[in-house]
Amino acid sequence: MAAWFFRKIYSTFLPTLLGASLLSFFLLRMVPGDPVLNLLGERGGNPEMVEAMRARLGLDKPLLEQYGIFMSQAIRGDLGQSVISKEPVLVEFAARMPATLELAIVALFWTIMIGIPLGILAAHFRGWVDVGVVGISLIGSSLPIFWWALVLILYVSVGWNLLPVSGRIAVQYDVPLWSGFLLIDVWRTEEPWPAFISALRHLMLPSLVLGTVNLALLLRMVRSGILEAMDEDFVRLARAKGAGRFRVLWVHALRSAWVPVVTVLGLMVGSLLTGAVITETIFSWPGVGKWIVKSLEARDYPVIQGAILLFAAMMLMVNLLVDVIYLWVDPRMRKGLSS
Amino acid sequence: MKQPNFFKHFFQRLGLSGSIGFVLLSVVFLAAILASPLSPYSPIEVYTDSVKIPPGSVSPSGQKYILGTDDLGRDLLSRVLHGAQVSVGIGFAVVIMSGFFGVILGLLAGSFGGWVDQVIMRGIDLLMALPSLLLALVVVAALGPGLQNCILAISLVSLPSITRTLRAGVLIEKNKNYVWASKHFGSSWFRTYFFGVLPNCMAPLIVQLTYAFGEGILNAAALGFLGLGAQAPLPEWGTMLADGRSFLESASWLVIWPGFCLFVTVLGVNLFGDGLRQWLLSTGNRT
Amino acid sequence: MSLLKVSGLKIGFPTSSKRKALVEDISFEMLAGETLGFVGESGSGKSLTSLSLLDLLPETLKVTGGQVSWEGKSLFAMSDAEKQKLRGQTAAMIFQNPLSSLHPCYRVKDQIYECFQLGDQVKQSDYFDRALQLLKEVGILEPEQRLNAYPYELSGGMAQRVVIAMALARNPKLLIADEPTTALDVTIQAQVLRKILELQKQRGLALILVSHDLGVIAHMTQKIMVFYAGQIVEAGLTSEVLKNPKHPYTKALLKCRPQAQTQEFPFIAGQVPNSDTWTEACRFAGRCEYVQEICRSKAVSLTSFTADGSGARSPGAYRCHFPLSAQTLTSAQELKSVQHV
Repeated sequence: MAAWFFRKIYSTFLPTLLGASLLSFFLLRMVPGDPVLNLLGERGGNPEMVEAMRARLGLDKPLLEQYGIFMSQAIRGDLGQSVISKEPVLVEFAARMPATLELAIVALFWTIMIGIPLGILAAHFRGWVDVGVVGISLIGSSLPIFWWALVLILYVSVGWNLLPVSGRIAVQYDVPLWSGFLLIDVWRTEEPWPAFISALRHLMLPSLVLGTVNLALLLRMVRSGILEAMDEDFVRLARAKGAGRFRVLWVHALRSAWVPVVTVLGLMVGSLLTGAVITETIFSWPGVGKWIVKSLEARDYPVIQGAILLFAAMMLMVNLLVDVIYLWVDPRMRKGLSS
Repeated sequence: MKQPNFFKHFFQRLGLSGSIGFVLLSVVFLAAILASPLSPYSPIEVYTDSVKIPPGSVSPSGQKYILGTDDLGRDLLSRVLHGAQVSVGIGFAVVIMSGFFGVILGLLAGSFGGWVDQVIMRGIDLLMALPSLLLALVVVAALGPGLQNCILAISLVSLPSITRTLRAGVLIEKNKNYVWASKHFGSSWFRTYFFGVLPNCMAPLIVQLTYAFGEGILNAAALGFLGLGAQAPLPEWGTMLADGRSFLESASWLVIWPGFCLFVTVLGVNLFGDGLRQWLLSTGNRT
Repeated sequence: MSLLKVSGLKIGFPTSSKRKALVEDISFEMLAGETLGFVGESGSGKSLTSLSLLDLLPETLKVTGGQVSWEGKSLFAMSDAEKQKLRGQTAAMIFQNPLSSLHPCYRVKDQIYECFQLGDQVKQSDYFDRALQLLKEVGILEPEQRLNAYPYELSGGMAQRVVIAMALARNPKLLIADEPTTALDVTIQAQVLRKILELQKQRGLALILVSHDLGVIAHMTQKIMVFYAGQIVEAGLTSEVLKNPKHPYTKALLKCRPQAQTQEFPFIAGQVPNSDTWTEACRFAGRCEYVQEICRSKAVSLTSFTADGSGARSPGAYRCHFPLSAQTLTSAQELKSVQHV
């Protein structure tokens, strides 16, 4: 087991991470025009300032050396400083990460809570229920997130005035950050309930929006996983043993359907990340996504560079986790492991 | 009288949802092609007296706007129709670019194997290290906003799946007799692979390209929405959504219609793509 | 009272009535402890018939005619709950691919326990011991280890033994085995078949064995039914039918064994006709060496004959206009080679 794990890290994790770092590093160095001038704007007319900035960013050294410095610093956790805020990139990232995580987790919650039951319903009842559910999944997977968000805002917030559309919590609540997760941190204040409700209300719309596309995908995978399992030999034998429809679906088909579902989980993480970028922008959610968009617009290169590396690392870790879950879900995968 | 049979056969093979997708796409394509003749006004012309007119109403100067106007007084219907033109154009551009390079890379990787394959696949893995939109964002950040860079970025995003699809197909075909025969009869690599192997890999390729078309349009709109794609005054649906967002309450039609068209287009592509996949790659499974 | 009685069974497509029935006019009866073999090529309808006995046909097919009765009760009059009770308890069925018949994600012991759970005769505390007992009964070595194993850790032969153990878990009266050894190595085939025969004798099980291999059927069953193109073309006592086949197809099948001495590989020329072309006339006509004009046009039905008093003939049936007269095979050796598994 340990050998498999290390082999995975060596063959997949590290090279991809290395590749991502190369990508971010060299991509930004290929920007047309002088990055220093871009940053300085009008002040670029002053040659001393330009030189100072260049030296500060380390842009006067040869390319390979720059990369070397970048990587050696990165390993030690120093991803440079944001040009805009002057704070270390890693600190900024860590400060905003919990907001995005909270959003993503709640979105995943919706995805699983709605997607899996609907998939099971469709597979069990077939007929019109099935058609309806498949229709929902087709529509859901074609919805542009930003439009869906705006439509929801239009009707739910503006129209019916039910839910707020910006920020994580109503302004009047001052919650001291401890874990970074508001839903947890509110419990450390004196009157947690109103703040908790407010935080929940603020989470509603963005998490629903973020979770929708994944919901459609999960729904389809659960449904097709169950339906395909129904055609398998082991289901035939189960029925021959005397198992009824219910048991066949819940114990045999569903269990087998976990396998393709877990495959999809890995994809969903990527989708959550990209979705977060858009969702946070629309809902003014102070997370990593919004931060990266702002940094892109402002050409804050250290941030962009560091953020890419961090995102890639995050995704790789999740994919590694998914591979481990895979082993647990499908015993056949364990074949190559220890024996 | 072969015509009716062909159409019936075509729609039968596509299935119900595939046919619906085909119809939706046809409508969008028609709108794209006939945008200019169909538009009552020019998409970029500003009518200063017709600012934020709701759909169906008439401006003070007596002009009718079927879908209303935006905050600068531009007719929404005309903009939406031309938006179809822009999106369809983007879609095809992405398909051509990622298709062209993807096919070449896939052929090279699959046919040569060895270190060529390793290098290409590592490059592909690199591109796949980041989720699609993020990669596009980074490329656009590096190159600057604008439609062309946007298309380039998105083509890069769609490249991996095309390359992998083709490479998988080539790996299967490589061992077949006709490839051996072609090589031993002295055909060049180009001839063997482009005219021999490639046609046999078309089915999954066509399906992938269809999805890439939809993906491209959606990603372009996302970039447009974030201000990094098509720039004003170009009528791209995503950009229009960003503009309309500020007027969500006062002129909601500016948000509803462009987004709806985008949704319908993507839906059409997905349905059609699924129908194509069932037709070309069917294994006899029901879904 | 018979354990299982089938009359005029017909299996076809419920959705499109235009298509011909895949199986028709199947009738037979099973008493406790009897063994019956279904023999035929792929597509002859033997597997479909066996599936229909427990109402396990795939969704696209349905029994469109005839009757199936278990211990007097009609299968089609049963509720779902009664059918579930029938399966596993009164009759059990095993299939061709043992490794895919077992659920890949559950351990062997859990899959055997499921059999006990579906019945209600074994107490949960006894599950382990009973499962162990079953595995020993089917001849699995080191049963304790096998119980904890996942199916992917088993060989084909072991997996099939596990499947057989599961089938016998609730002590059914009839076992339907659909090509149980076709997917196994030849040496393992013999072992598993021998075990099935042993279990059948020990438990007094009735057995329906479906196979395309005449040798297997000859060794394992008392009665035989030969299937061709969805119909029974010959039926009777196995020893009788193999010694004196009445239907040209049966005779041709008997000849189809590689002859080591003469280095021949006899085969039946032609192919099984497509189900769309089936008619009421003889479906073997295109390949029969004794065919006459009338065979292609005149409807042919199953002619049964009962035993005659002297015991020289046993009950049987044939579907032919010109049944072969009693004749022994060319050499006693052929009979022996057919019986040897």
